[in-house]
Amino acid sequence: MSGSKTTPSWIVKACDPSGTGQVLLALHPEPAETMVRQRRRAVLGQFFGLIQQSEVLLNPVAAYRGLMRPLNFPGHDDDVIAYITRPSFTYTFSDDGGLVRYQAPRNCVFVAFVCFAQDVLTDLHNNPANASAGGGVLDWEWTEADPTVPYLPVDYQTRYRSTLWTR
Amino acid sequence: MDKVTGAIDQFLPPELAKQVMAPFEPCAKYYATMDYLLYLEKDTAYRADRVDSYLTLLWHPDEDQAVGVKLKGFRYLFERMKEILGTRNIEISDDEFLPLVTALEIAMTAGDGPRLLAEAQQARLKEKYEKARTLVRSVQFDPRELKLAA
Repeated sequence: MSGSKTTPSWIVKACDPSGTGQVLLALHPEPAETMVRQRRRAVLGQFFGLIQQSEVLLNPVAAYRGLMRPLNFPGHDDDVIAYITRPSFTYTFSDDGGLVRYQAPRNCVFVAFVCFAQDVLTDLHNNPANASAGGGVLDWEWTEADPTVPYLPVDYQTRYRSTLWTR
Repeated sequence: MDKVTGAIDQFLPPELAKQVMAPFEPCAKYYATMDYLLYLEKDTAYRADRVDSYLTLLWHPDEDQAVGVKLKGFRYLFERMKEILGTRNIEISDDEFLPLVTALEIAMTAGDGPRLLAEAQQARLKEKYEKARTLVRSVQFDPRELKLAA
């Protein structure tokens, strides 16, 4: 993974993975730079509107550890934590650059992927403005909700390695 | 109801804001930290539909339209391939990963991405017809009602 000293620092508040306290997270520079290059106004709007402005990661309904897929570094699969939230709205940047709030996709939950591994922290701390960050936000998306437990993602029983907690 | 809660220049420095605000074009990009290639046809919020550990389809939030696809695990597959070839004394350098990913980005943007989306939509349509057939087969139908209707 790479770090960048030129990407600005974006710090957000989140619930501690234990579910009890608070932790500061920084947006990892690599996905941020790629999202900008791909001109993804919708996903950047979600970060600034939902994660930074609305602080949805402070009150997730569940947290899971590990993805059921092979990731690029040995052991990394277990380090990723999925925060599950269910805001009723989402955001995008409109054509005139306004951050616009509108209704969330129907029957979906908002999932953010966070990592506290040392190599991620090293990438983040390349930028001194990220010194306070205890973890990195790597990705986020709206995911289809489970039909029977609508506040969790579909197949929540099998898509993650372990449940940290649900509320 | 739509509500404006900020402006892009509050969040991004001018050069990045300008890049984001340029007109969107369908393209594929590789996201190294999560190890996936993302092809997007439209810039919109989407519903992620995980097919398996290697493929996720992205659907329009309100319509039955596939707007993107995520192909996951490229670096992982590259590392496995390196290991396998290494046992046959064929060495592949890490430097070869980036050109490979660039080639994949181009292939997805040029044609494989739109083809995958079209196939996904076709499959979903077929699935819906199959559900409709099952539903119709399960309906108890009284032929006398048809006579009355005529």
